[in-house]
Amino acid sequence: MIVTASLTEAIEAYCGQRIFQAGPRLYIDGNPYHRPIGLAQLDRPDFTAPATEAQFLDPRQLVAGRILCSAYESDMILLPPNGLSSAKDDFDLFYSDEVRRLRDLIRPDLERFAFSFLADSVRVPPVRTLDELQAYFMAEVSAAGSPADDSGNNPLVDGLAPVKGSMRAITECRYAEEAAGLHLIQLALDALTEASAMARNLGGSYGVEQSELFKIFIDEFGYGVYSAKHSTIFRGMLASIGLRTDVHAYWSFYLTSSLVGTNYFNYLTEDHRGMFRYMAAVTYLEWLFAQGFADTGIMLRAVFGDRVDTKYCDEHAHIDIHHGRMTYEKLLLGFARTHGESVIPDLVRGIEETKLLLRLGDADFVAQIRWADTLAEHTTLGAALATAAADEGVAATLRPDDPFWTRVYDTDRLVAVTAGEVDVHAWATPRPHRLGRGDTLLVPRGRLHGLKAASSSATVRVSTVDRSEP
Amino acid sequence: MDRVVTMDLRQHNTVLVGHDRFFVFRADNQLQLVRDSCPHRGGPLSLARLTPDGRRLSCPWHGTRVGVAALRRTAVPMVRSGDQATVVLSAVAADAPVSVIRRRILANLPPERQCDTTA
Amino acid sequence: MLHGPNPYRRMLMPDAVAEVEFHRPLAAGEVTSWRSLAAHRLLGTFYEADTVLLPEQGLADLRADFDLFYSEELRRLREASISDLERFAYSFLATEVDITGAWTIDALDAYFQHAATVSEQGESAALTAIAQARRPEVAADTYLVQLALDGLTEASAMSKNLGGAYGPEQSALFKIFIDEFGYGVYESKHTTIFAKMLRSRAMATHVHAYWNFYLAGPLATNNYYYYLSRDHAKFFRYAGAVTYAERVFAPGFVKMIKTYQAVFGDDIDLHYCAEHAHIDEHHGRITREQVLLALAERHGASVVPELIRGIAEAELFGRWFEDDTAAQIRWSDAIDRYRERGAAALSGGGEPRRVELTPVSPFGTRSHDGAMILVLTEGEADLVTSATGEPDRLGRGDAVLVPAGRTYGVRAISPRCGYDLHPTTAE
Repeated sequence: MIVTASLTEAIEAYCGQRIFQAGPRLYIDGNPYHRPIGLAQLDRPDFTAPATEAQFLDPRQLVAGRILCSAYESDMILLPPNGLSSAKDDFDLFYSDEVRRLRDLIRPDLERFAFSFLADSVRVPPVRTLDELQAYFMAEVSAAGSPADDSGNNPLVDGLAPVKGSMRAITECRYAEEAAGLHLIQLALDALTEASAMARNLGGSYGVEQSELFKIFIDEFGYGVYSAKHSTIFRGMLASIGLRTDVHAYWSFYLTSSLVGTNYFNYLTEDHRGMFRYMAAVTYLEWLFAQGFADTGIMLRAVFGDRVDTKYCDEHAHIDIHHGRMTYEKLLLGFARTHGESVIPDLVRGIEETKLLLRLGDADFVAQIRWADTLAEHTTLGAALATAAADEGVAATLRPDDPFWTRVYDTDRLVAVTAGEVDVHAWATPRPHRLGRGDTLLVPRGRLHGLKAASSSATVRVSTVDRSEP
Repeated sequence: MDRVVTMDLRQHNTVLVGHDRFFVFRADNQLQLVRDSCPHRGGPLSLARLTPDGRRLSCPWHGTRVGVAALRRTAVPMVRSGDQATVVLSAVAADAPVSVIRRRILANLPPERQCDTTA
Repeated sequence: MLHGPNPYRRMLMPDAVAEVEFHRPLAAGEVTSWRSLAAHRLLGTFYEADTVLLPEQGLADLRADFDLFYSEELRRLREASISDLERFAYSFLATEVDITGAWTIDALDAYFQHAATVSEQGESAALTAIAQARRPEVAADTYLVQLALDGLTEASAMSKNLGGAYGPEQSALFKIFIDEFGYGVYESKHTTIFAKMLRSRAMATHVHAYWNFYLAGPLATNNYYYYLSRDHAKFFRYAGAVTYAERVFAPGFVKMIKTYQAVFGDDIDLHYCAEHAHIDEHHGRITREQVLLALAERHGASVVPELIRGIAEAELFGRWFEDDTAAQIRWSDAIDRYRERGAAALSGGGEPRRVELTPVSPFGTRSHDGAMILVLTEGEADLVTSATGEPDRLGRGDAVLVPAGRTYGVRAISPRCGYDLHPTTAE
């Protein structure tokens, strides 16, 4: 049994496990237990003061997101598709008593750190009655661009509408395939274990609503037919454009917002006091997914042409019309009817928190693809700013077989190569951006990236830059 | 392989074949053994309710409306003689277990009064 | 005597739990002891705090209990002690069951088929006890109460094995879950048809109405599946255990139908048993082919002993479930004889333990690790040994022998009442 004096020590002990350390490869195949956390990017792993909304993209959120994701997923069964034989030791460690004890010790504090800002940032409107809840929900989905159809009960889907928002931003990228790939990778975080959070709300006994939730789950799980399981058709979509299909193969390329968003659903289902927020959040998302996945399909076909298999998007664009209606009528309104006004504020809060997380997620993703798409320009910009470095910086030597991990900074940084050559991985691509000796790259605050030496040895110097000063 | 299954209709109303289900559906005062699977996503049509006009079943999974006439066209070969039914199931794996059981069949209840609004 | 429609309420008998030395783990022979009953009540509560329970009538008046049941404080206590409590309750399995030798997939299948056949051909101790009881209706209800433990939250442990990603075997397990959950149609959910069976016996149908009447053996069995489902390092054991359970359910329910029809004729709704008797034949096939053997194929030799262990352990728990229920039925059914034996054996011995009650004392049940003679020393009281039988009235001076592991409660009838518990070897 581990006895730890403090949260910090417990976190260090957790992250110090072999499976949470980086290895030399960019991608992780056949081993869903291996998750480099990159604790070293924090000066001090102090999670006592909750992150504010303004600190959403700080490295502490990224690290906490990776830890919480691993913590939640150790409550699920993950086995490599080609058999356990190659990863049996890591399986044993991932699910070991020691790692679980540490997990239980750190989870509540990390949740407080990661999710407290929701309560501070979200203003829950005063919705109290069933009628008010119906009016509120319809107003919210209309405002999000997914009004009800003529029947008043189904989300309206327009399969020909021009794409907007982040889907449009992808099509506008120079390297649109990489940008689209990064989007699918963010979806993969949840989609390859699709509906696992929902599974936590199947056990127990809570009447008709339990059966109604289960109907949704049956679809997600493909009726017990493996080829129809949503995670299986998602894998088909990844494979069609040459992406890896193993769970967390792209672990290092999950953005902070993706981790926080996926963790939020596990957080609400793992602590059952969150169940009403969860049910409302699911309702809101299922409703928006109908149009959302129609848009994703349009985007993918625009980027990849006919070679992309969009069955997953088509499936969701279709089935989520049903799920939108089913969750709205039977879950959201069902819980409000059965349990009354004591739970309606929780339901509304679930929707408001989801709205905020969606907004933060979109902003993070669009900022990442815009930066990753213009690393050459940011190298030019870095050179121009080189003289404006605010400090001496920190130097590091890289070698090709060093452990690979990704990070973010809490302020803008300049990454200058002083010897050798370095590849910058800002998304999953076989063509990373190469920096030569004398090159300086501007890495804005919160942008995810990893560095890998492209010569037998390379030296980089990372310094702070304050762009607000002239 | 074709398999012949007999059942006493006073006691049984469902046939399980491996993981496939068939149920005894009553329409126009005739009993037929039909597949318990909605063409949309395989939902349990035995648990569907008739629409107010009695002409369609509303699947409990997604509310898909399945015409009674169309469902009857999926009926498997069956001979009813009094309360005894003899069913011929085709293309059944030799080791697939076959059971006849009694279950609740909502599809044989009178049409639902309340008109629901689902598509 | 029964718990009201509040799924968060569970009488744990805190004073009596204090008797248990938790540093000494249970031995295999102690599964029906008080130590075991106390631990498994607690463990079952821990596990169910990981499932969603809401009262049928709506949460309105129970919001505070909901908040407490799922509160951070109780959760911290649970997380801090659950692993130790599991070790207390189940560590004996490591020595009780040994898997040795070189196992192949064929050997796994042969062992599995053998275990299933043994169960199919053997007789159910509890059903035999029901058939032989003087009051078979009460005895039959006692068995239903044990089934209600799982029947009203059916497949909740299984739901813990659905999340994640483990390929076609995950989908196969899900097929079974779909049936248990009645295809998402509430009227056909197994818990709903189980409730119909209880209602046909005029029994309560809310979750844990009969909390006080769950026996240690059935609790240990039910918890065992949660135990394997909480910690996924034990996933392969779970797969073995669930395959065995699904295989032996079908013949088990066939026997149950026969016994219950003999007791009640047509006055009981056995639809639940009939459903299981048939559907589990199909489930048994799916779990064997598409879960048990498929996992062995995919993940190789290192997981086979774990699969075997699950089968062997599930077999053990199945036996304890039956034996404990049968022993309770026989004792409760023959309480007159145990009164005589109690009176006869009462002489000298050590210092008795004194218990005092009033009619407003909270009702709870317990058992003892060793045999006891219960002697009423003051007032009048009812001895409760079954959920639906008439309690046995005890007057001043009346004694009754309570064998080790038998579960009982005492309810005061007079304004004050007291009884002594004398440890005995008369058993």
